[in-house]
Amino acid sequence: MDREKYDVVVLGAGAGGLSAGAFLAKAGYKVLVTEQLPFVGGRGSSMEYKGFNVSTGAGGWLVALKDNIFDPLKVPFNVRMPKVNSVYYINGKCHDVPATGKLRAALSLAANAEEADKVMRALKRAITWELPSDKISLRDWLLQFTSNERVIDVLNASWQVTETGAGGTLSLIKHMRSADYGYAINGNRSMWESIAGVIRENNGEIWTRTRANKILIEDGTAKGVIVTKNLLKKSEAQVQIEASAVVSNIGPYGTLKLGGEKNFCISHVKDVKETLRTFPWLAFQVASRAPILPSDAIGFVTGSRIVNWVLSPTILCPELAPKGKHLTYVGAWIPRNPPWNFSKYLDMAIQDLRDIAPDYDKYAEEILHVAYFIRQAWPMYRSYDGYSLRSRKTSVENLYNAGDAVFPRGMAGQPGAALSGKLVAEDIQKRIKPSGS
Amino acid sequence: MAVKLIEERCSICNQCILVCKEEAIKGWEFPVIDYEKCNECYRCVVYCPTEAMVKEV
Repeated sequence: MDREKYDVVVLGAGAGGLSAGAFLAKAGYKVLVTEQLPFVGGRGSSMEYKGFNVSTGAGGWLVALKDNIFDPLKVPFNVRMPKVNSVYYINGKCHDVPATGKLRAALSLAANAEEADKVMRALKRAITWELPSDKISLRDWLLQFTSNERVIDVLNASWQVTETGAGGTLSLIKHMRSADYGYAINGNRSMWESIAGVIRENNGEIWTRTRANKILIEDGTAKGVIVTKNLLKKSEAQVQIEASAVVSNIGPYGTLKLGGEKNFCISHVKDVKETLRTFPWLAFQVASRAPILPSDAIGFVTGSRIVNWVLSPTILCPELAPKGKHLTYVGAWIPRNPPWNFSKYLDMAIQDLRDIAPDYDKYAEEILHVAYFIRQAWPMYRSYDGYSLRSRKTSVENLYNAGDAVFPRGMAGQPGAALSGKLVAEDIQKRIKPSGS
Repeated sequence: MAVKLIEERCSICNQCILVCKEEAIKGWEFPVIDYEKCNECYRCVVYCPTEAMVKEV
């Protein structure tokens, strides 16, 4: 077996792994990122299909990433942002809401100003005084202040209120209320390629088509990994990589599996198994010959059967579709646990889309891609808001988790995963010196 | 050798459908392989994030 040596090895080139790798490489560490798939960006990436740029998961790009998290990397981003940041579909009609105070505006539209004020007062009190715990769902927390299902529906459009923890979600509302959405002009993958470029420019490496087989642990400390590189190629080979720190972006279950449960403190194993709650989701993308939605903004859908989120990226970024064609991205909550009835969910979602897009049958040509993200290994999120692991450190010294199971409190999605990687990089910089220093 | 889907591992992300050049994989739920069309290029195996698509020996 070949042997190589790096300062830090990162398993997985998703948002958390690339972020950790980029900040460490920029700080002078010799970094290797391994990725099983042939591309970077994981569920935040995209691929070409029938001339369309189809998302592998995330539908839009949160500009919060650019402004708050990756600024120090000085990476060129190509994002177009809608003039109106968000719209709400209420009773089938599309409503613009102001960038500031959008939740209050949506609640007023869905119910009335009095009900909106009541809920906003409760939200403000929780956010500025004391957040509730995650022992109750956001729905149960809301029911203390309103029984109006239309109000609850507005919040359900953004957060699956029956499954998300109240504390975690309110913390998210507090921290991400000003987040802006945009679309990557050349597709989501191009954004992650930019971050990967930072790693390569700083003498780091990214090995795609490389499966991690084992995390090497000796005496409670991570020592490296064993990988198989060039998967399914003639040059496929096992390599042992020695490293001072290992960052896992493959999820805490994957970290346990590769490290061997017996090498972790039983409290950590228990934390992983009892805390994380896989968050499944239905997402599908429709090709059409004209836009089927009236707005290019991110659309939150209330009062629907199942759909919570719609995007029409090609109104703003025609580059994402063949000339004269359009792409609509639809997201829908599905139940957390089986038994699932997938065909029923898709039928319901298409009916929802018809309700808010009267021209659906006139312009839609094909459902390009349908995904359900039901497994912990490749979910929408590795855990519902409020049920992330509190620490990015595992019980094994110098072995970290990054990504969507270890969101910093108040963060989610790509920004949360990216920030988790950045925080891991900061911790490594405090503890371990780069070999070249 | 052929390609086989291990359903218990499949997350139904359906990336396999997107990458199959022969359009040999269909489905809006668990992917279904059309073995008449499959040319055993194994792109679906390489692109499967959960190792649900495997080379059957």
